[in-house]
Amino acid sequence: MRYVVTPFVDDTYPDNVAFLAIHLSDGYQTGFGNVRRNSYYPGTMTIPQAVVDAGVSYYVGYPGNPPAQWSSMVDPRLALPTDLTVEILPRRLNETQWEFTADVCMEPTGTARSMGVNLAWTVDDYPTGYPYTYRETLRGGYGPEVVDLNPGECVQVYATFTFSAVELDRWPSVEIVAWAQTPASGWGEAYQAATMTMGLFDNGFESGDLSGWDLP
Amino acid sequence: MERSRTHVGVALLALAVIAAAAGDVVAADRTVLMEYFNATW
Repeated sequence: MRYVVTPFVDDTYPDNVAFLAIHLSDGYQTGFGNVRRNSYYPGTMTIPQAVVDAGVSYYVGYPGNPPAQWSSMVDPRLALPTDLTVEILPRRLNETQWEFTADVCMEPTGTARSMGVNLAWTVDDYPTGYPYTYRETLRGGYGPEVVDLNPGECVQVYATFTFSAVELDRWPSVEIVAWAQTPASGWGEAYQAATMTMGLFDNGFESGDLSGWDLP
Repeated sequence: MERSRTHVGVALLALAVIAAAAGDVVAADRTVLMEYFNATW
């Protein structure tokens, strides 16, 4: 089975690349993903296309391309300092709905500005039935919610996501992604991002089902 | 009195150095966003 890009991303950047595979025009597109596409490319665009940090760099990257093609976009960004932190806080509402909070904070030495905060979620091994294994496929999202942030301050952006059988059947692989970027959609700059795996909540604790737990 | 004022000045200088060190915030670790537009094939 062949994979699309993500094994390299996982192996090389396990903790510091937030990856969204945004499907277009193949039946697996989403409203949120289409808005992202249209903001970058109001007309047509080449598929595939990798856009890093909301447009700081981009690359027509095909599966199997040399890793350097990707790392040359990521490494320079990782080397730059940022004045923001983003943390994702989850809250289970019911069997299918969760509320997520993006807690965006600016360090005391930061530069006051407006920014657009987004939250989205992805799922692995979806869609299936193709020669490739599709991972971290975008399923939906919220934003950008434009907020003003001053040095030393934090702001919270809330999003409620409703998961379907697609997510519930692949629960440990569901990932939440949040990021802060230039307020306007389209070509700009992402300042900071964060991810959280829902595999953290795969033990029944949140639903009160402790049957799978090993008690001492 | 003069000696006392010198001590105060040294103390203030020390506090300023400590404050400057505390204000030297380590930059937050960055996570990079990668949006990969693709389709099934």
